[in-house]
Amino acid sequence: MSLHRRAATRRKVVLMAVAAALLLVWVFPLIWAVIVSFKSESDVLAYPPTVFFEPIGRNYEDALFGDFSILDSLATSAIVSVSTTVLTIVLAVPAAYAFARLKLPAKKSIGFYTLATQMVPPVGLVIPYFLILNKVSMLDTYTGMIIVYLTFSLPFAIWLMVSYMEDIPFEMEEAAFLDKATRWQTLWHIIIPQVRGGIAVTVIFVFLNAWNEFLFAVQLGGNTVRPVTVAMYNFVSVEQTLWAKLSAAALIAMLPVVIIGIAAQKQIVKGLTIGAVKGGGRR
Amino acid sequence: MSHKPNSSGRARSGLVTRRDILKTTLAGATSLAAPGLMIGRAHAAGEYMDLASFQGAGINWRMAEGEKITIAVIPAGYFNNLETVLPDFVTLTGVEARLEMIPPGQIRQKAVLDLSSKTGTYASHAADPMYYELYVANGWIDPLDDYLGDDKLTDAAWFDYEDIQPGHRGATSVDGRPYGIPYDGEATIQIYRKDVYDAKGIAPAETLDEYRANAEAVHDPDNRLWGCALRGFRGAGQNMYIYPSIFRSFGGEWFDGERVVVDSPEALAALEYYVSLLNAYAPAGVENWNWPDIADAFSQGTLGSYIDAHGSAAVVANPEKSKVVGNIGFARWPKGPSGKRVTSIWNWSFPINGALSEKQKQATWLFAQWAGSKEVQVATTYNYPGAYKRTGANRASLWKDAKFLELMSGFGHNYVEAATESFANDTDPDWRPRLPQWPAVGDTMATAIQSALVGQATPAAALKDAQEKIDKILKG
Amino acid sequence: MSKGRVNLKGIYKRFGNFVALKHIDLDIKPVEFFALLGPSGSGKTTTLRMLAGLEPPDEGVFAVDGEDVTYAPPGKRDIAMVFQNYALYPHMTVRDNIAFPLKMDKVPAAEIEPAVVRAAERVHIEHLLHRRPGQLSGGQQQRCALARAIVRQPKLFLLDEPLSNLDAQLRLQTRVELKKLQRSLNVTSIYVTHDQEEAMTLADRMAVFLDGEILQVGTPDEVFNRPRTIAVASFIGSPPMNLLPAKLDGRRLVVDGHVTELPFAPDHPGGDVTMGIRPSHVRIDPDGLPTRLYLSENLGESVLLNLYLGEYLVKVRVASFASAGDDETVPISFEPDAIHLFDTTSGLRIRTAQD
Repeated sequence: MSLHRRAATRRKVVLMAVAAALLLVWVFPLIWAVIVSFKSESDVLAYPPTVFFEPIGRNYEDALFGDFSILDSLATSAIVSVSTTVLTIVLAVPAAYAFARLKLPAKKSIGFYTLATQMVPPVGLVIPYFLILNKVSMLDTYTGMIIVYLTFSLPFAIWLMVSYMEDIPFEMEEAAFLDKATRWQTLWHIIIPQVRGGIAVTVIFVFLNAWNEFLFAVQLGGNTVRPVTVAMYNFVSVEQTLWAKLSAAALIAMLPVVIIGIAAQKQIVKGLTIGAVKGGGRR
Repeated sequence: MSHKPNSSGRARSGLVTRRDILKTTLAGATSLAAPGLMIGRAHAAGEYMDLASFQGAGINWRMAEGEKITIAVIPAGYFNNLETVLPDFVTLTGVEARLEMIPPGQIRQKAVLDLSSKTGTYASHAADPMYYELYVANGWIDPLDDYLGDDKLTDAAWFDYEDIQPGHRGATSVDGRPYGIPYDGEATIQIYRKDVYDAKGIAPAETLDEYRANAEAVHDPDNRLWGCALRGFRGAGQNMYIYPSIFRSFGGEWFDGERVVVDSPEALAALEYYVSLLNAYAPAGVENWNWPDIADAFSQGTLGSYIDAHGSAAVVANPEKSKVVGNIGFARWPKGPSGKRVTSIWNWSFPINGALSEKQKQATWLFAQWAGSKEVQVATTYNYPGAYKRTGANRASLWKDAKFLELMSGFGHNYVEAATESFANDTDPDWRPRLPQWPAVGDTMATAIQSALVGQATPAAALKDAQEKIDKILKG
Repeated sequence: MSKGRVNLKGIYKRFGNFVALKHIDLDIKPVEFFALLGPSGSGKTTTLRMLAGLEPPDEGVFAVDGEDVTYAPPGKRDIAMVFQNYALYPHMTVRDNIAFPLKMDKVPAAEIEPAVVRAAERVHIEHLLHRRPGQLSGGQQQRCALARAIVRQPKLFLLDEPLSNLDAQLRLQTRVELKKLQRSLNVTSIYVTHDQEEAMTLADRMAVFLDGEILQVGTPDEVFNRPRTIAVASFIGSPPMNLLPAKLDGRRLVVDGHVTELPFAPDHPGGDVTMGIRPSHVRIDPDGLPTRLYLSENLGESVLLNLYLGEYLVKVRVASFASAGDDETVPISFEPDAIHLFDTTSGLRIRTAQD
């Protein structure tokens, strides 16, 4: 018995050690970036690396208000990402509901199309999108960029939301119908509250993808639409990389993602567990 | 991707971008050459240059007044300087010109997309000289002899096209016709630790063999000093920046009639030299180093020598970052077995997008002519009010201008001489194989060189493989 | 109160090639507690869903109080339903669950809370209003579902196996309360169950379903005591009645050579018939038919004997039985008054004195 427990304890210790090692590998670049962001450019390259240095806030100041201020770009990124996310949710939720519930004639083929759009490597789509946006004079416009992002986020969001909605028993809606709720009321009062976790997950994914997107931003954007992912390259000029300022800028750009992640975490955990509670809320 | 060195040590906030013009001032910047100056808003006409010197040219600078043009460039100090003085162009011509910064990894693709779809988004862009063959083969850009020869558009005496470095002119011409106006360019030179060399009693290498011997002489990895380093990272603008010079100095020829030859005996000898040199005397991991990594290592005092663009002097001689300031010497490329020294003819130039309207083309020509002019070259080099002074002046006359040379001599021993002689004698328009399929050919060669460097293939096998691939590319 | 009369006429429902309902006719009177009884797959639940508007019929007419609502959407029918798995809204409190139909019906906010409390009180969950369904026991969830159904005054009250998810003891207790609740509500209630005991105890009348058809409509007493067909006879009763081949000759009924003299004259020309007799109406009789004891089951209040009469299993309920061991011979006879007769060919009941 005690032998058994000791073995279990040992296994736990080993597991914890492995987890800690993995976490360290994952988190190391982040720690490095944080440290570097407080160093002067000359300290960054010093060998052996300076362990004790006077931390300076100068890099953050420069990233926000200096020559390569990323403030405008942060605003651009925010406009594009938030619009994309809001539109995606507004459109994907009813669409996913329709997919999950209605007997649509082309349901299967639409479902396949949805997945297929996720399989095409984005690089293959840059040129077609460029030509299309050029034809409709939407290159380097917010509208154009958001529409392009929607073409990726929407199928993905619908696909994700459908799986959450299919977990809700039919009876729940039938009960709502009998309670004189319309389809929209049912969606609003019965379905959406139960897929809040799924919506939170979708919001994070869509926002993250839009916020971090670079390929389309650089090819389809320009001086008007210049998100922070592109603007960050100002610190990586052909001549040299300004590691300290780049790290500061990257950490600033990470902030909204972190905030949204924390805010949505509660909903996500709910979203991950609610699927386990099928059959009318019995637990 | 050709990462082109040319910076003066970019002191913190020592750069000027379009944002400065709109927003703030450049404060307290220090630099190798001059203390930082204050730059205010661009409110007055001719703030950076005397407009009269332009108006003295016999053309109507306001012929395209009211046109709007966008020029794509990369984030780099030399374009930041150009952007700073751009308001003067607007004042002079009434053309609403603006620069758009595109990351270096994307600018070629974006330019090709724009040109091939005839969008006309970018009236001009900072063009890679190796892309002119492709542009011209497709008719995407206008030949500039029509512009240069039209006295309504160009005052030949004032602009003095012939004054532009011959290597750069050659690199931006196809079959003798000019297609781009060079703005900023470079020569490849030896950079070495004068203190170390002096201590050992050795002189900078005159030949590639001497270069190897010098590396061996100073090589002392136990004390964190490696003999030398060259660009090792895979890429058309990385290892295929340095290898072509070696190849050419071994007497290699890219073309045998119409056929591109990369597996000739000269090619094999050049690659074997490159691989054996780096494996013996370069720090581990050099196969992942591009030029900034090399310059950073040199500035930390861990390299005896390297060969790269003359502009990289600005980084290694920047007291803010470098520990070897005052101990740097410069020399021309060592001679190869053929007796030739071969420098790159790398430069950024401005072509004219063929998809533009006539008026826009005029506006774009005015811009290219303005950016390439002596006045703008001066205004963005030694007369530049900010901390960062360009080193890549495009004009032979500037390399004789005392003020410019005074600025350049600050980088270290023999700098001006090495650069000037390289520009004058060592440039080679056939440095790399000029053909429309260059992007694919360059990548293929880059892969072959790196695989030989890391020992995945012998130099002979790597070149044979590259030859087969290139034959296919050119046949397709 | 004469509201809540339900008429079904000629209802057909097909799912692909499968015919779920074949010509269903039903008349349900106002305020009646009506059970739809049948094994699973017999069509009873489909009928209920059709009444609710969740599954439109392919043919036929459904009217409530003379108004054709065959294709009316669920919300327009003024019907409340308790689902088998309750279908409570897991993200809402019990209070909000019960209030939901009123909110959707645009009942003024001030009237909602008292109505919710009243409904909760009727099913004794007024102390649970702040909880969520996940925090309730199965029985409490069931009551919550009931409260949500009765919070407004619907024309029709539908219940789909509402007791099936409860354990046996709770089921008996809830059954009683359900019956009392239904009486006090004064609303026509239609109740689907596969449990005949539930149907027998709860329903005023019931319809027996099999394979998409209604075999018999009647009071529990009628269905139990005068099953209309062999099929009903073989389904109703626990265990159901024994059915044995017999020969009829006037009043003489011959089963395996044993003659029973009937106390009535059947309305039948005679010949091969099927005799039905409930287990409790079979006696142990030394002069009776010899059968072989297969197994005796002690049910506490009685003993159920499984006997083989030739190849036929006969179940016999006796007050007590002292077994001499399996394979013992047990002679039996049938109470003549309790004998049911069916035409073997048509399966229809042959009229007897009891009818």
